[in-house]
Amino acid sequence: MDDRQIIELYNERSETAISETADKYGKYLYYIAYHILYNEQDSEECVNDTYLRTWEAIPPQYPNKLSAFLGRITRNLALNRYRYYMKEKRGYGQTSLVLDELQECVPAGNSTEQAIEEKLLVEVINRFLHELPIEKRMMFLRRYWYLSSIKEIAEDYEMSEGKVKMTLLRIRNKLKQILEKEGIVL
Amino acid sequence: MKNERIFDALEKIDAELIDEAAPGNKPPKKMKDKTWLKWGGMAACALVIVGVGVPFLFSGDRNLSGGVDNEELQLEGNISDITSDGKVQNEAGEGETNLDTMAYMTEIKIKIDEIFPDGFRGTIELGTDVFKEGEQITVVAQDNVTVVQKDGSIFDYDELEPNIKESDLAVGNSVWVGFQRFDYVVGNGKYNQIFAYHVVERDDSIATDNEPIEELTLEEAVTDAKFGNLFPATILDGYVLQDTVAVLNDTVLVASFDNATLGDELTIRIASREWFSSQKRDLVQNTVLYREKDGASYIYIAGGENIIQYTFSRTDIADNEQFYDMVYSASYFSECIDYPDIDVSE
Repeated sequence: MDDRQIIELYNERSETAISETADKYGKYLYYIAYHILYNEQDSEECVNDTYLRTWEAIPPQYPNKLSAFLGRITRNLALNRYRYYMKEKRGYGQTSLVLDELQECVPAGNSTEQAIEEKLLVEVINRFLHELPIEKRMMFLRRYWYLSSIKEIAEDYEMSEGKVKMTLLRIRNKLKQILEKEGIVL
Repeated sequence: MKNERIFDALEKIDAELIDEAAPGNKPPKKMKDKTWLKWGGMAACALVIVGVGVPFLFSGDRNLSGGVDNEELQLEGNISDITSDGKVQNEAGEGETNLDTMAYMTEIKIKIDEIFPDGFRGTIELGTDVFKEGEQITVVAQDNVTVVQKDGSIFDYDELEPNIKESDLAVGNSVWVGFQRFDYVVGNGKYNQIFAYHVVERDDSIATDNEPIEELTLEEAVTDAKFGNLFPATILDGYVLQDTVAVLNDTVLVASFDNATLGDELTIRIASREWFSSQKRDLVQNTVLYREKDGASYIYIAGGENIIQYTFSRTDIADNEQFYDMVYSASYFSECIDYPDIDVSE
């Protein structure tokens, strides 16, 4: 079933919408949650919560890309759960590693300056990503959006782990440069 | 946490980017670099020069190879006759008994007098000690030559070559013919043969000798209009420039640096893709390579129209983390977003 048909089912308030979503995107959403939480039960719960949130969101929303729409919800739910666990010192998985890596992108800036609004930050990052060559962009997002491990990316992209690390390092450095050039303060 | 702000902002990036990078999606395969094919229809042909009025056009140095595959093509001189010519670029060095496969020999300029289905005949306009000016030679494309390279890989010319008849060569035109020596093994015997490995119609201003005409300081090299954008602003610690940075005939920039502590020598060369490809037929870019003979490591890094080559005489680039800092200190790489991936895994 194509995405438009699934969205129509949500609009018609047909519960088949959820089973169709699960059939088509269940694995994808589980992947996202699992790479953040590294726990089967938590990941499954996040995926199920995603269906409920989607049920609540459509209508009135009408996503252009259902996969990304669902993925965002799952990622958000999993990260909230991750942050809760971190407070309880129960964190696992790639998240803390990824956050450490992203620390390298933080531009130097005066702490008294006004922090940039998220909308502008998203715009700059979007532009940066669009300008990256496709392979580098995909690699960056596999790591920092999907939280895939370096090993997994290396296997999928048929390159050495060293090369993946080196490429990600350079993209992070470049992002930092761009953020600084734009005068962005976080 | 500021890093979390970036992390959270990523969540809201364009949906198409999220979709594009989804697990299971693979990046599009890169096209194999075939820059050297730009030379035209004949570029990939294995061309064999046969003598017409020239007694020796081929080298089969028995001392080096232990055999000559084709008596008809035997050269009465030897390789050093050619390499003593000031125009030779031979990575393995003159007089070595272990010449690299595909060592570059020399180039001559030929004015085409007649075209055949499988080659052409012409008059040497600019020659060497061996290929003398004014003499006539015939260049013949030879099929079905299998070359076993020293690393064990094999390639057949007929897998590569376009049809010579499709070339845009024309009577009256002048072309440059480059020579390459291949060592190869048949059965228990080791043979070598020299092929004209490319034919190129090009601007005569491209240098064929190595006489420096311009000498620069490091500061001047960085701002040089032609090569400066690839020249590193930061040289590795401990490496001291020998003399000056030389630009040879406005074609090749060469700078050598010594590291007395490590006994290492770093050489930087910058030139056009075409120039490098004329030196080495299958130019592997952005991957660290090694010279078995002396343990040197070297790399060709693509940067726009030009290529920069770094060679370390004794140390391994892959062990040197500062190497990347040096490479990316060149303005070309610090300004462009599509910086090269450097593969050190091999």
